[in-house]
Amino acid sequence: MMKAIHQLVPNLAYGDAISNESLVVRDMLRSWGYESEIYTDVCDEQVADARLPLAEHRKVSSRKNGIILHHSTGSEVSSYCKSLSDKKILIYHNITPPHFFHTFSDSIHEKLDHGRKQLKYLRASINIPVCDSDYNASELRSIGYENVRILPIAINFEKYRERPPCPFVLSRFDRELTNVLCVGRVAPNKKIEDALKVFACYQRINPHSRLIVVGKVNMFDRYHSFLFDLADELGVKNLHLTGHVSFEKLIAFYHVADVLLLMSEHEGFGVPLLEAMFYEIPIMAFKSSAVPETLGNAGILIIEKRFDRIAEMLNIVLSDEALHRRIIRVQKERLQDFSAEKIEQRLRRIIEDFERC
Amino acid sequence: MPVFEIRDKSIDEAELNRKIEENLKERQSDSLAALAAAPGAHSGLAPSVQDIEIRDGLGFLRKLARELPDYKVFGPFKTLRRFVKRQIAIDKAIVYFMHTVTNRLSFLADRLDSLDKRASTPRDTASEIDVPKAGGSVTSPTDPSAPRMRLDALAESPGEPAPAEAARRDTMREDQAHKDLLDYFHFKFNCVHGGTEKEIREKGLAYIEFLRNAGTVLDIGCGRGSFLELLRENGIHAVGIDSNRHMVDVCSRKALDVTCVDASDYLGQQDNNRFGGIFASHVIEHFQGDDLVRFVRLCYDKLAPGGCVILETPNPLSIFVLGGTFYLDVTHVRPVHPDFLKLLLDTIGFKDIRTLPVSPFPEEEKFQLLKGKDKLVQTLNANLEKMNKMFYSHYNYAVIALK
Repeated sequence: MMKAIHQLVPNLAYGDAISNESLVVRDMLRSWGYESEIYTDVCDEQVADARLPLAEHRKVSSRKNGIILHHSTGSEVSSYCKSLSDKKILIYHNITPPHFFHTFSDSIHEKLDHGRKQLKYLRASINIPVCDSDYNASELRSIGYENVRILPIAINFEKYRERPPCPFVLSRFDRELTNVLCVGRVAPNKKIEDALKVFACYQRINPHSRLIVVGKVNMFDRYHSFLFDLADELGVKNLHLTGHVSFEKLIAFYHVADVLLLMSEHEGFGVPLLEAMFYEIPIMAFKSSAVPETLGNAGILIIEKRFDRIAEMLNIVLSDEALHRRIIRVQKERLQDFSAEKIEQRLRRIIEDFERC
Repeated sequence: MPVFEIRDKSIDEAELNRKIEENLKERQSDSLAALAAAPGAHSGLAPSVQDIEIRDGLGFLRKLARELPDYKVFGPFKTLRRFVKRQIAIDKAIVYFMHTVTNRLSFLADRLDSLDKRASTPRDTASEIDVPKAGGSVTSPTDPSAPRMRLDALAESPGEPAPAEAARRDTMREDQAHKDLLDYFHFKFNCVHGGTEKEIREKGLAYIEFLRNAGTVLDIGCGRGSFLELLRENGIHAVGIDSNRHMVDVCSRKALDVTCVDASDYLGQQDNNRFGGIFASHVIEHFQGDDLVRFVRLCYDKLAPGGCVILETPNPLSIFVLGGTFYLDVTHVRPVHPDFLKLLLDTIGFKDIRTLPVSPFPEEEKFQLLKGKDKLVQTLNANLEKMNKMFYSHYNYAVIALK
């Protein structure tokens, strides 16, 4: 048996899905008796205690140990990993296809491209490739990876239960207006503009409504100003771009939300879908990338972006109680497939195979 | 081409689509009116920042930037174009910033409105006794005699004039807002400094045996409910109380039987001999001397004969606790010495009183003893042990007693 399985992550950000997963995986590994740490040089101060600097990893690197490398955008960690003799699992979290960024940002474009090149270059040294969805797996297969395993993102819902929702958000965004929620980084692939268009139509049906977009915003980004232009043009009132929020605030937004609207055209997994299932919010999401896979039978999939019809559906979902209840029930059932026990079993199997490599 | 895909077959997709088309048709026939009405629906609100044109001065440049496609851009235009784009980004950032500011302002305005509303409703005595202006459009109250009655009531109680009453209500509201903030702060404090769920459960294991087969256990100041969960797992029926509503919310989400109430009030309302066990962890250090005595007496009254009381509190025999952790929580009133507590319980009538040291100080952080057998080393070690006991005794202790 290996003594230690450590994780290398490009960065450890507070509240970020990949970072949260690496923490969950670390705890599972430790509970099975492995030594396990998270190594990275880039981290937020809230989670700084949970990681060790990358330079420290050299000291523990050995042929007898294992590494789990989390890969998304191009990063030095991946290059560093290639040079090690440890056995390696690659968890591939998906790289946004660069074409989404063509019109908006050039530097990101390069970074993503670099990430893709690294993926090819890593191939020979990886013992077990793992993805969070079949959609991501197909991408790995297309560049020559074989026998790719699926491990859905592990979410620690205990944490969601324990922490209190921020009272200020609760009182500010109370239920006087219908709250349409959109969660995700404000970036072109998330197609916030489409959510805005749906919402513009919906606001004609129900003027007492607001659109809340929760996710990191880059103020000097062209995409961001484009969104505000569009909101002006469409005459949308009550648009709130919250920017990056603390965990307590995120929970609070789920508490006040009436519906989750996800028009994203590229989701590697779709953590907000699971969060909405957990908070019993009906989901309407565009059928693309990993979304249908994560949703399963739950929620309402949008297959064509006809905004007036989507807005009508939104209105029906919010007003038809029987339909609302039915959607919530199926979503709850679907959430069971992502329970901690099931994820743990899957990871256990992967680690057992890893031991045999 | 269908717009939706619903995989849950119990939902009638065709029916939904029919409804959507129907609604759309209805709305289109009414669209002119709807379009006219939609912007108007918000006309009562202050104009939002997005509506304010702040780019007038840049209009020409902006147009230029838009109309010069990439391949036509050369020479000085290129620099100009870059400048304009940057400028546009900056003014967008300003709009965004102002947007945030307006949001916050409108939040404050909302708060003020609701405060105003609240301030005016209970004070109807003050507002309604104003004589309506002649011909004024003051809507008459449903009961015309009501203002008169209020006037009479006022006349009967000259000791409490309206302004004093209003001031009292203001203070009450202020107190409530303050309590809300305090509650939230203490919840956060408890999350950060109150020990992890795991620690609380490990500590709780030592107490379980005293509470088994005892009947209903009351957990006073149950916090996030970790001990209640442990009791539930061990098949012991338990209820909890906490004065902090955030804690109670967390417990309710865990489906625990918890009430948000002050401990002494709650105990006072219970039947005597009701509980098989009473557990109060980190509660008694929050009481003034007299209140502590009353609290312990109430515990005794409400406990069934043979029932067990467990009171856990920081250990003042440890200088580390006294000088460090005890005053971390400013709501701690005073440390309670174990001998005092034992004597108090004894006086009130408890029996089989014993103390239990809880949460040991980590060995590796104590003064380390020296190795060697000569006399000097031994004397030094004996002194170090005394100092360890004084400085680094257990963090907490519990007194356990039976009725």
